[in-house]
Amino acid sequence: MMNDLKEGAEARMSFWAALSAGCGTPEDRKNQLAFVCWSVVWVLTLAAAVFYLENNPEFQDPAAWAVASIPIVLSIGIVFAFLRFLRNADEFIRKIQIEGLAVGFGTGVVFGIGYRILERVGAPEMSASDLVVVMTIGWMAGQIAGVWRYR
Amino acid sequence: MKNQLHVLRAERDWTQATFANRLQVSRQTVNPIEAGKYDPALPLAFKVAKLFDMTIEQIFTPDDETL
Repeated sequence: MMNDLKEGAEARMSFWAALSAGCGTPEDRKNQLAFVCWSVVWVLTLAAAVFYLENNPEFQDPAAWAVASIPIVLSIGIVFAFLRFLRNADEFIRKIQIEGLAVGFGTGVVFGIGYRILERVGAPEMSASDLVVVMTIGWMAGQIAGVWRYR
Repeated sequence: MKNQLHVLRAERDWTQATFANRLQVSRQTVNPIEAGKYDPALPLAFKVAKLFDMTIEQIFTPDDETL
């Protein structure tokens, strides 16, 4: 009886259960944590670099280049951490991630080009960082849509 | 693609989590495969077959859409 109930519950795996299970195997979780850590370090370094450069306008050129380069170097770590996660993830998690990335990239391209036209008719100017936010939202929405479709 | 995974798993009294652990995949992966919503690639299909000591054809059968 208990087993039947358990089986029934598993067969109706909820959207939220599926989403949380998207964290995958313990190795996936370790790789995701590494990716998140690299991302957090990158964001903090980026904020620190922007703050420092804005408050030191007289900063000499070579040193300014060095400060500005630190977040860029760290961003390489993010890419490699994500690649490690993607390569070690099982085929289904990889499929969800790739579909999410496709939605994010597509959203970025379509929105980026489309918004340029809107700017010509008076929409507020969009910065490159705004586009990154749009692409990230698209990536997350793509993942959620994937989990929803296969739940 | 139809499959016998639910029956085979129930015969062994495995939960989806147990099955996922044995396949070294996430539970999220096992659920859509079992429900026939996602067809595994050949390496995973062979892994499933080996786990149950059966052939792929004994576990997975193509439906009308597949053929």
